[in-house]
Amino acid sequence: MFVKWIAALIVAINANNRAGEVAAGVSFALLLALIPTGNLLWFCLFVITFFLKINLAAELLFLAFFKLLTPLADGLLHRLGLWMLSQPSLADIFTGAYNLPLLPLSRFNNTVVMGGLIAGIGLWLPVFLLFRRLVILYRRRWRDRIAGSRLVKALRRVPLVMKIGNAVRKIGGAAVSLR
Amino acid sequence: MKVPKLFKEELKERRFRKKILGRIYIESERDFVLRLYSRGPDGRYRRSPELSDEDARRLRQLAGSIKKNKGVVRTGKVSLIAIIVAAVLVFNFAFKNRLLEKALERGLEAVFSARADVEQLDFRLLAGRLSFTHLSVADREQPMRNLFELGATEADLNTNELLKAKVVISTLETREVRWHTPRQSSGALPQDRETEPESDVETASRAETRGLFLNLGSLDAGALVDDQRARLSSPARIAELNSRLQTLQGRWQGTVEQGRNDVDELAGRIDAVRAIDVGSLDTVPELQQAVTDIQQAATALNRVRDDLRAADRQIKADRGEIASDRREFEAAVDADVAYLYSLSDLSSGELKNLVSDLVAGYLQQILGRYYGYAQRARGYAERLITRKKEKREDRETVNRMQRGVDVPFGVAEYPRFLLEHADVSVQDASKIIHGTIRNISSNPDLIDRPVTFTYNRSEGGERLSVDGFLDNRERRDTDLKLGVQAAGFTFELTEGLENLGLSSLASGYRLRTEFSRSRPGNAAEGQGLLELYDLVLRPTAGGNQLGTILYETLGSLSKVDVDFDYTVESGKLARVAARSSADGQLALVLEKRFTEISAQYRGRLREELTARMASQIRENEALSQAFADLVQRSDGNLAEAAAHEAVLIQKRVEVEKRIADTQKQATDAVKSQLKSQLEKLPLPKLGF
Repeated sequence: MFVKWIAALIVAINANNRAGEVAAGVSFALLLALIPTGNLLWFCLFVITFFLKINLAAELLFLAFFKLLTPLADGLLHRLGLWMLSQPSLADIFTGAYNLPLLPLSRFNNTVVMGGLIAGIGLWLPVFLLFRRLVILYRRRWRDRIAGSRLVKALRRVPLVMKIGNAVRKIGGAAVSLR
Repeated sequence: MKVPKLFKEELKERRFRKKILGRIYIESERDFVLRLYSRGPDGRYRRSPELSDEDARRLRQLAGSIKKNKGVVRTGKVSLIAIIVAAVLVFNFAFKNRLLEKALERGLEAVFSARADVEQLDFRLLAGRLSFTHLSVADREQPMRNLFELGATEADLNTNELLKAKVVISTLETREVRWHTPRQSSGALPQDRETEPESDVETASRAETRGLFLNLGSLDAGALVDDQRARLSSPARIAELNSRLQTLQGRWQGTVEQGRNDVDELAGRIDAVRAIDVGSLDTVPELQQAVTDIQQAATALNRVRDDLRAADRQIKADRGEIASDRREFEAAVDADVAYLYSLSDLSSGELKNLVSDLVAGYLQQILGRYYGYAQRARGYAERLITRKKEKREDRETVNRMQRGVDVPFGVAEYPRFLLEHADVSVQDASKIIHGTIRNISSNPDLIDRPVTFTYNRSEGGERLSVDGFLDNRERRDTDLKLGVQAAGFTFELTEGLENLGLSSLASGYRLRTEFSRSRPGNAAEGQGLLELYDLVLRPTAGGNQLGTILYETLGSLSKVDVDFDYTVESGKLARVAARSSADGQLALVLEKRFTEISAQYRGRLREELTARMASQIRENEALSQAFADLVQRSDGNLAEAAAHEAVLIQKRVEVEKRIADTQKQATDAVKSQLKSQLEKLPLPKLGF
């Protein structure tokens, strides 16, 4: 599965897709990684991404990657969420929301969930812009160089890379040219 | 090769840059397109007329990727969602109400354990409104009747809670309600059919035959005799006497028959003797034969007569013993009556509380009915309660969320089922009914309120008001409280009054009672006041003293107040104690006429006792008569034997006389002959 995701990501980076699709995939991956799973909020966000033109391979791949790291930030997220949930000015809004149907299932009243949501939203745009820029830079400067480098040619003979290459050809077809 | 439409031969600069170059994100591809198009002096981009197949193929791929890059939403997947939404809408219109109807029926059946039917249910999710035209729930104990029926009903549901799988009905209004209506088909659920309770007809007939049970203690002579029957000696005596009579009957029947046969046989011999013509007996042999015949008949007569006399002596001895037993039986009846009377010592004050006892018996029935309703309501309310912890634990515990804290916010927590307010109101020219029920819930502890109810009915001059609560919350002392007030009602008793010497008793009444049930020990008790007015009593035709006294005493009172209290044990009304304002006055009159009442009561005890032995007494009389007939027949046999003896004696006298005459005639003839012979003898004669 990871091979497919990597292949799809390679296809997306090298094909004529918007750089923002990959960047949005990474941004959503960070948002989903920061919010703990097992609540309606996470599930809804995850489902929404399926209906948006974002790169799902990038999202899933980076989600797996960020998930390994985000527990390290739970303390920070807890403090952030607690600060937000403790704001007296927002108490009425949160109380009203908690009495709405289904919304409590989002567990928004959990400090880590709320902290993850705030941090995810806050980081969404910077990460998006950053990765978009990186993809553009890659396409503009490194794509052709990498494709033609000796290293890549040597790597192509490595079984795993061959496997990825085959997957890329299957997914991307002729649209992708790793020249 | 054909070039995609996107890459027209000539394009405006704005369109070329925005629609094509702006959507190509790969530099090499962009360069490729720029190579193909050249900018003219008019600012328009024109495609190179010479395109190789490779260029055309590459343009087609580019066109495909440009098309894909349009928009931010995946239209294919969104279409799928649209189809799902459409399917939900179709379900909403086509199946929702039908499925909800079934679900409501199953839910009611689970609570009431009997068939429930809902008609034309309409549920509007967004408005949170549920309505139906008719609902009926069968009575589990009487499947051919409905427990209740509702007409057109509307309910407001809390949609928010419904989405949490909780049924919270804020108001329920109905304009038509009926109880205990007949059904066309059995309301028993399939699993209950094997043990289907008695039919409606059976119940009704049983209720009719049971009649009223009035708490009159031993004043009911018949009931007292029945109750004490095992301790009475007269029934055993009469049975014993009849048994003895039957034995003697069997024994003496044969003996008397045998005597009859002997007498008949003797009659033949006597007739032969009677036929002897004594005057024609001239010769000694004839006389000799006659004497022999008489002698033999006399011998046979003596034997038969001795047998008959012996039997007669014994049968008459038995007759004497039977007469003695009969007297003993009558003495036993007297003793039994005395014993029964001693048990119903009327002078001990039993009659003094007659009105209280009478009312207590009646109250026991009506209060028992109300208590029965309350118990059933309590049972149904309890069946709703799940006592389960309704807030589910998270099935999947997420460690990361556990690292955080759940910040609590004020929230109205509802149970799985809650009926906050149900209102029934029926009003027409003849009656007004208004009832409310509040807070029926599957978790009373969560809402921390008991089920409360009120019911008011006004029909003609009758007014009934019931209110109370059912508290199924844990750690509560009182779980049921019921208040009943009735006014303008009348009651008429026509059954069970015979012992009081009354044929009917009618009165208007006002009733006020409160009942409460404590959870510890399931102890339940209540008290109240019954006011009787416009008393109308009708004494029986037999001139019963008690009836006359009641008629005169109670008939003169304008009002009788009865204070009462009662207790419930093991789910049944165990005791009703009543104190009447008429008790004192009645006691005074009863004391004056105690002797007459007492004598009449003894007479009734005797009647009731003998009535219960009536068949045995009739049998005894028949057996006695049959035995008397045997004795009479035995006497007849003896008399006939005596008549035969008289014939023999007479005939013997006649024969003896004939023998004497014959002897004399012979003697005279001999003398005459002797004289004539003597005269012929030459005997000397002396002459002086």
